[in-house]
Amino acid sequence: MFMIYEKVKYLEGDECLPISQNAEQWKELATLFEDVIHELNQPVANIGIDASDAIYCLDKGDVEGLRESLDSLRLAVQDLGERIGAYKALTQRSRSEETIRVRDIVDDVEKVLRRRADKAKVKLDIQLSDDNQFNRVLSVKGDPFLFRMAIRNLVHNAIEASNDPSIPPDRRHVIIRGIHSPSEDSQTFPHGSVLIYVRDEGPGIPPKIRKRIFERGFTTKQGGRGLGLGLSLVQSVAESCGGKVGMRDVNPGAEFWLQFPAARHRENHERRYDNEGGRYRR
Amino acid sequence: MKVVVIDDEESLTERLRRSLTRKEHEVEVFYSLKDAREGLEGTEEPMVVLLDHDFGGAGEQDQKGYDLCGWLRETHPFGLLLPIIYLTGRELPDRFLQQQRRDPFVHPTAYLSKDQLASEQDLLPNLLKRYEGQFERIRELFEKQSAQQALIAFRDMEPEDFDTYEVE
Ligand SMILES: Nc1ncnc2c1ncn2[C@@H]1O[C@H](COP(=O)(O)OP(=O)(O)OP(=O)(O)O)[C@@H](O)[C@H]1O
Ligand SMILES: [Mg+2]
Repeated sequence: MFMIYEKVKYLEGDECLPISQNAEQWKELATLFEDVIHELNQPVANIGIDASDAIYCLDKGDVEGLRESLDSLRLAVQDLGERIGAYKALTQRSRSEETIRVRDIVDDVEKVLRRRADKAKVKLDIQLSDDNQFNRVLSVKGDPFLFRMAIRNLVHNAIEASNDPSIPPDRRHVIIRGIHSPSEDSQTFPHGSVLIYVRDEGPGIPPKIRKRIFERGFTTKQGGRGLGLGLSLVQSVAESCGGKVGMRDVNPGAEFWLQFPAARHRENHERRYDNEGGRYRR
Repeated sequence: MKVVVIDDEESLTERLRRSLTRKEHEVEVFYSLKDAREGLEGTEEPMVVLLDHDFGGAGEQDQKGYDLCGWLRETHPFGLLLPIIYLTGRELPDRFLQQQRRDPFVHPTAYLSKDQLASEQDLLPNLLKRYEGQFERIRELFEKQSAQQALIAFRDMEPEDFDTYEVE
């Protein structure tokens, strides 16, 4: 028996990268690479088939077939372009602290996870109360890269939980909710806070392991599918942004929440155009 | 030559169908492992199978292409010699190697990573061409004599032109 693998070099056991103090960055890269490979494999395969088909037609002098395969090739390249576009945002790491709209972050996360969710037949439901009673755009201050990473990990876990074979189709949805919490009195959140909830109706988290899920390296995913770094990463992002993370039981499923300090009033109160009244409002 | 394509990704199967039909192969497509099992139940005719690994898109999270591979090896009269080309996605080859060591009688004939479909060597068409070289003879034997006779002829079909390696 034989295998075709000319260009792939694979790591032997002891060549594998050690989980060191850089584990978190490494893990982030590893998931990112995995996502990228997953996303790009399909269009690349399609391009391969079309290109080889086009050459075949050319050799046969089959003009019609050639046109057909080139049209198809163009579609495959378009698809590839779109998928790459979704990753552009992930590479943009800001140098300065900026005020970021939660909606932009969540949209970026949705873009990179959408196909994974589709594949698992999981519906992503995004509910951001940008039109809350305080007329505040949900925004936070900090590095968008970190926020994206934290939210992406929670949504990723929720998709994986929903994709458990025991979960029927009607329970396969993940709700991403964002609200503004006005309490400005506390020391931690002087301008109020933004709360982001990620909820699924998967199998939930058994009480026995609940204490441990945020530990670095703790995973219940077999066969190297999980490194157990996702939640510890989320926790360190939350802490570094002056926020908090936690989970609560829902039945059925699990709900994780992230709380970040809201951006300051002035920055937060972007002037927004009121479509109905046709004037600016605060 | 009959080529059976089993993959849940329609953009891929449609392209394969088009390009293989152009090369005068008889193409049959299944989008899920369940459909493939139903459609291929009791089949004895010679065929080449192109099989995907992950069928999450068809709602089959609990099974992999591997499972169908084992089923084909058991039920098809060509057994271990049925050419099954396994299309892999993001999975790394070492995972398949491990699996192959665990289940030596289940494994596919060849692994082809989907990104290799775009390679200059035209791996897939070349692999198919190689099978095709012998396929007519096998088909004839199959029709005039028996699946057993055709099976013997299949043994001679060993692709050598590729950069391949043995699995111990
Ligand atoms: N939404 C969820 N539903 C059920 N269990 C969960 C959920 N999110 C996390 N868990 C549990 O918490 C464990 C730790 O999660 P964490 O994200 O840290 O690691 P992982 O997902 O196992 O691996 P990695 O994120 O490194 O790929 C998981 O293995 C799983 O058991
Ligand atoms: Mg995780």
